Amino acid sequence: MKLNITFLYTCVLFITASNTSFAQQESMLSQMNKSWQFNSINPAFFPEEKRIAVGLPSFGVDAFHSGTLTYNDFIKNVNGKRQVDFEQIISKLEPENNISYRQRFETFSVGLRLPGIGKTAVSISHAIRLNSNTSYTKEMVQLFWGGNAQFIGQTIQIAPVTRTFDWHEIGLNVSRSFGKFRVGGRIKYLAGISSLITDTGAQKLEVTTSNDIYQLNLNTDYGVFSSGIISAIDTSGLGFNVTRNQLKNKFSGANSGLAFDVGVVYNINDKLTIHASVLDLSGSIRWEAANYFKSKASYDFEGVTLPGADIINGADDLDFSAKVDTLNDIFKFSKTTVDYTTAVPTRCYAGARYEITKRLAIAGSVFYETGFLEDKLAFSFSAHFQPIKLLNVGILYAANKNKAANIGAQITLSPGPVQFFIASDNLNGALKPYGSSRVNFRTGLAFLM
Amino acid sequence: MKKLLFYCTSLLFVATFCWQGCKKSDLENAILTEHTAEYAFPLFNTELKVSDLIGNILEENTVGDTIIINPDNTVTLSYSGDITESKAVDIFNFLDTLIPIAVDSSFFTLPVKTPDGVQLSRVDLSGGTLTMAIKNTMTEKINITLTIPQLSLNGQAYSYTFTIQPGLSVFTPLIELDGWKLNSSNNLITFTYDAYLPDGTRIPKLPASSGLPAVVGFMNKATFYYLEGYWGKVTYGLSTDVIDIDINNTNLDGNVKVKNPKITITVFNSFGFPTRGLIKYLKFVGKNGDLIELQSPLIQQGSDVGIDFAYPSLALNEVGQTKATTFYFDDTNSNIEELFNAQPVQMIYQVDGLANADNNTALLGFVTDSSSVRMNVKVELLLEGQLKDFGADQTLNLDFGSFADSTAFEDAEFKLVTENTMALSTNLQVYFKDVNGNILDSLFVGAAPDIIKAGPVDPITGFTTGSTRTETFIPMSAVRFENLRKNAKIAFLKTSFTSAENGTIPIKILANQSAVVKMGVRVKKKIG
Repeated sequence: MKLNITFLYTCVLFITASNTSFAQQESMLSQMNKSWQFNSINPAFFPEEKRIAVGLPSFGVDAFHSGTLTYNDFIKNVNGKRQVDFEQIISKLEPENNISYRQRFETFSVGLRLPGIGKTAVSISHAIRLNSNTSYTKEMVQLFWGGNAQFIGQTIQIAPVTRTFDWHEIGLNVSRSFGKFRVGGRIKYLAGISSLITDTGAQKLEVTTSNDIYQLNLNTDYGVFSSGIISAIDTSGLGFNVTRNQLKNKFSGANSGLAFDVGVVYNINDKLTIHASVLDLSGSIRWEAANYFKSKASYDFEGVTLPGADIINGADDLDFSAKVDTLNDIFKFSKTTVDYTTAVPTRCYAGARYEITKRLAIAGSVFYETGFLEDKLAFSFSAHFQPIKLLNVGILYAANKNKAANIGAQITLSPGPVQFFIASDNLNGALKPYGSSRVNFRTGLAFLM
Repeated sequence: MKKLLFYCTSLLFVATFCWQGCKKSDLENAILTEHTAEYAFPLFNTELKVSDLIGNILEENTVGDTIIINPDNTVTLSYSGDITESKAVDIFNFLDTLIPIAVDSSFFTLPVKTPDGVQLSRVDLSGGTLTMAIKNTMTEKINITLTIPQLSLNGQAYSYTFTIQPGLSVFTPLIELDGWKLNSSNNLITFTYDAYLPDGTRIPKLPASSGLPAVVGFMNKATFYYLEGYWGKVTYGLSTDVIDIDINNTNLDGNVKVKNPKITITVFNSFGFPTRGLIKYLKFVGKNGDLIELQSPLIQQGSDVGIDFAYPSLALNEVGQTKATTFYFDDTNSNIEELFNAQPVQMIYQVDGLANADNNTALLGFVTDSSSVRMNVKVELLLEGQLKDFGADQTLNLDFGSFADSTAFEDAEFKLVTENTMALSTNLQVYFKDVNGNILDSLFVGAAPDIIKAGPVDPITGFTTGSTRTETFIPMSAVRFENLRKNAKIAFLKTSFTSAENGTIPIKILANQSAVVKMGVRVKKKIG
């Protein structure tokens, strides 16, 4: 059962990612240029007429699973116990399935507008971010859940592909106004926490079940880079035992890198503001003394070969166990120490906001991300209404490659110096995160003075 | 107050949200839903080769039986009897005894008891002894010379001279006969003596004493190097043997038809006179013990019909040579094919030799001390023929005691695949019995299937032209298996073989043919 347990663990990881699925990429936040957290996607921004901004812990998730798979498809409650059920999942899976997951946990940020010309502002911030893109085949889940008999006469690919890493991000931000323009830049020190990257040149784990007498062939050319997650893969003893490191968010300078954010905000007039930013420019993290696990093998199991002469001669002892032992450690994962670099994808935002009245505004933005497994592009429009001074609500329409119509919303409370908001680019996913394949939400808490 | 309430409400909202966000997922405590998975994997594969199979049949039975792989890869089973040897020294051992000699006159002839029809002309002795005693029964001393003119050493005839006092006896030295030669023309050995009184009076016949002649002696255990003479028409025993026919000597039963069986008899003869082999009888023992006789023009009991063996000729100075003669019984000169199709398990035969069958009175022959007639009888069966339900039953003890608990699986389906290049089909059923022999279940439901089907056969040559693949699926539910695991103690295997086309055409079994037998299984297993 080692294989099953590990397999389950792997699947749990994937589905955990999917349960907080995805809509767009902070599209709503990019149209909320009154919130302090807007600074995180445009370093030129500093709240108007505020001198001090203190960002308190806030959280954002941007996740997506291809197809219509939801958390509720995966977990069901039976007699008070949670049970993992792949049956429903399999029927909803596509041949190739993708999970995208972005997580941003902002622990704190402090901004200070300096007196003097240009209203220069400086701020520092810390966040823990996680980027993950993973793809896996339906066949992999089917094999795990239903066994290989359903694939008799077929060769299936079961290798998951992932590019997952998380890191600390410490930013130093400076912005300054030049007339109606306000420009800003941020330098960010990145300290990698952990990473799990499959080798793009070695992504084959093929299982063939012959339609003869079900002979098995395992053909592997599979490599995984790991830092801080997996310390050993042991497939001896007919098992598949992955030794994981304890997952911590401990800050360490062992894996480091830099990234840059630049942005501009242009107040065309009192009603219309446009803005643009490029984030994580040249961002990368160098992982030092990491592990590279590689399996490159071809193994055929044709059953125990019994010498015909022994059978004819009535040999007393036909030794099956010795033959079965040859199955031991067929993956033969080797481990080497390597250094490698992962690029942080570059994100771009551009948008505009128009204040129709003092209480009503409309906005729109474009998002583009490049540098990861695939580029992403999203368009969105929103309307915001402030019925009373302390409350602002908004609704958003967004379109992206995966879905043409997403409805998002935001609610902002501003009691005194406190500013709190919760926003989502996909309202359905935010309200029913366990029942949606796409979930996006963002929270923000700050004191503005 | 309103302001405070709003702050508190906001903070509560924030706290609730943060707690939800930080709440640890309970996925790690989740268990798998009970479901059924089905796994397919191979169990075993093997190749049953004709050469291994036949080798085993022979090895388990008579040592010395062989498989002959012919140049065209056909296989001939060869069952050989022991090589029997009839030696001249054993057949013609008439001198190898104690021969009393009583010489009752001065010219006495002793007849030698040779085999019927044999008249010796020359014997080169290789052993034995001769001693003579003379008693003087006269009242005066005598001078006597004893001679055996036909017995000589290096050209000197046997002769001794004595002076014997009255009433006394003398003995000749004990003569070792090795090197002596005995010549005769009529199977008679002549003894003479010349006895004189002191005054020169010749005594033609020494008086006897107490009824015994005055001159007596013994020739004891005389053997020969060389024997020459006239061999008349006489019969002597050559060979008797029993040969097991192993391929039929199993617990198999059914209908076997063998094509062109052959018995080959090879005779190596170094007797220097013409001998005709007379097959006194050649019988087969059936499985039920019945004796069935081979019928052939070469076998006619009570007649001189037989096979003339080649022999070394004295006239051609071929002394010491060995001549070979081979003859056989097959379907051209016997009913052997019919006999073999009755699946005999043994062959019994006796062969006699008939010397000078043509009764040539001028024939002069010989034997030496190394002369013999060696005979080898082989039964050769080319593996070509027809089988119909040629079967075997086998009972095996069964114990599933330590076998995996059947609760580990719901259902299983075994897949048996055979790829057969032999022209034989194999039909199998396994009956599972309890300790009292009651049948609990059978491996196959209904009639036993052909788990190995014969390869395609060219009806003209009998050779297979390819391979036939047979797939047999054997379902086994957990309930059935549990019943067998608990109660089955005996497995009764009923196997039968049938040659191609339902045993209607002769087929050949080749040494390089084989049947690949392999098995995989699909197992449904409950998980969770």
